[in-house]
Amino acid sequence: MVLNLRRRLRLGVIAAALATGGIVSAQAPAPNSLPALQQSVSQRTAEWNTLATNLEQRVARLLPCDPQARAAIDEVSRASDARGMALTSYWTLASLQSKAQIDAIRRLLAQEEGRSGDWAVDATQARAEVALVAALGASLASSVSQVAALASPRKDLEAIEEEYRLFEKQSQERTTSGGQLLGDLRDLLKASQARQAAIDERLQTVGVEGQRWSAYYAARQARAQVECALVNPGAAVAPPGGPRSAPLGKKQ
Amino acid sequence: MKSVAAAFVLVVAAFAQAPPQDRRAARQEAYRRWRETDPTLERDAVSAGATLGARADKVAAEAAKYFSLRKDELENRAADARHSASLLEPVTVTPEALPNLDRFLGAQDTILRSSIDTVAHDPDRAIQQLRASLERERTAMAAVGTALKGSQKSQEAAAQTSRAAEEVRARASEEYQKFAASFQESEQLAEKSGAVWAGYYRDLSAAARGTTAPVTSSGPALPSVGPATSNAAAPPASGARPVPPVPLVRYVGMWTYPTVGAHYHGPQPLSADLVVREENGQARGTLTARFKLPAGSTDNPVVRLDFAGAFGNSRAQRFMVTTSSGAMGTLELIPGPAFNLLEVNFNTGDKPGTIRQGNFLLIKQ
Repeated sequence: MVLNLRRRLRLGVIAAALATGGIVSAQAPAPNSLPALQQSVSQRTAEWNTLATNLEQRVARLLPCDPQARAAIDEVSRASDARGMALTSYWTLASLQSKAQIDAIRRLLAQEEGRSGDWAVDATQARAEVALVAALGASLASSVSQVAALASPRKDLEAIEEEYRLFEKQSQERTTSGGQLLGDLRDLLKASQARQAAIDERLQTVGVEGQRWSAYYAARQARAQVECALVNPGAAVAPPGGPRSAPLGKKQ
Repeated sequence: MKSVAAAFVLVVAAFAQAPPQDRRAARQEAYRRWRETDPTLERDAVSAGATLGARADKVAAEAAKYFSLRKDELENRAADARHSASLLEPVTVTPEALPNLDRFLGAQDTILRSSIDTVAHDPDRAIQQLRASLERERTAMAAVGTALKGSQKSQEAAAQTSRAAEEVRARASEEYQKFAASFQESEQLAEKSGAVWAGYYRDLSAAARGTTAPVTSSGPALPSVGPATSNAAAPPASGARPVPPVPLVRYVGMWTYPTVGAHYHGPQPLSADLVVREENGQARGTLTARFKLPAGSTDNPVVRLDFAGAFGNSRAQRFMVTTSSGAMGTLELIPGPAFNLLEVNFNTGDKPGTIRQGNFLLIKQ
């Protein structure tokens, strides 16, 4: 219950940070970009990792009731929370970007499916145009014997026919590419949906991992209290922010 | 000619099958209009003579409209393809550098287990509480280990699916870029084709005009018309006057430039009035016209010319003219496709600052 509340608070802070930074807007500032958040994840992870791996060494040198022991555990716990927040920010932004891309792919796919017939029509028209210009040219060619001056417009038609053949070739290439593009967009939609599912899963595991570390540090704090109570029953007090530690001391 | 008709039917049918879509539909409609404006233009090139100019102009105008729309459509589709490519921006998910905590977790577990074993059989209540807290801590640590495995797995899946999606995205984006380039090339080609078609209609018109035999009067040579005097024409030397192949009424009378359905080639007239009189086989008359000038032109838009001469025995009648500014030239009068239409074709040399040639159809008043 307590962990759920903490998780909600953490997500609320992240959502506020994202909104303030305008991450959801199309023109996201560079500091809130994925690479920037990735850098933050690396920094927070490194900080926490150092504190976490040295915690027991630090606590072992202190007396059981030394307030520094409790502070050391709290410090690692806060570093773990900071890392969790950085990870959540990173994967939340990745999820938003991924969802936006899926929406864009869906729109493009609908657009291209609507146009799929156009490519063939364009190619058919281009072929018909070539045929018409060729026929006009042939018609004028037969008249050149009667009117020599018609040789000039006939030459124009030859140039046009050449250009139309090129256009026909371009239209045919676009017909082929149109089919390829449709296939690519369908593949992309599937691949992006798979990525989205993986990102959502990752976001969930980040939350679970954060909860587990919090539970562990709470248990560790509780043990420190019990150890203190063992040697000095009067000194053991609940740590600030009581719910973080289980009330295990002999004296509350 | 049958093959032209067949190709014509084919091309109109091909353009009729397209679905109605904004620019595309407008372009296809323009194509149909172009092709249907004067389907016999080429066939008539041999026989139509100078009247073909106005017809060719009309078709050329429709062709220009079509190519303008085609260029616009292709330009738009190139921009659309570029925009579509921009919607496929990469979503770069970088693999996380997850800390390797296996050793740490293993060491912690060993310590906790050992501590638990040490106090396991101590009956002291406080020690039992310590044992319980150690066990809870060990359970929490084991849960962390499980969560870390899940994290590792999901992280790898996210990175792997992202790589796969990025590969396809790059391919689709490249297809769109290729489309943009292809449409741009087609747009340039359409622009070029439009220019060649315009040249084609000009050449066709010129070739058809060249088929009209010049007036070869069997009477005296065309009079050298002096300063604009309508009576300057000399009478024929002999009594055997050449007779035009069409009645004189097709030339004589008062003619004006129509405000609706006008046809012209070259400079566009805004108004034109022609008076042609006949006396003893001699023609004389006056043409007054005002032309639309291109933007920025300071030329004189008004042309006034007087002409005189003998009617010849050909359909197209050619006369010497003198303009109000003193320039010399020629004027042709060609009966139009209908009895009340007359084609005028004049050329007044190279005097700068003036309209030097004109070709248009007039209607009888």
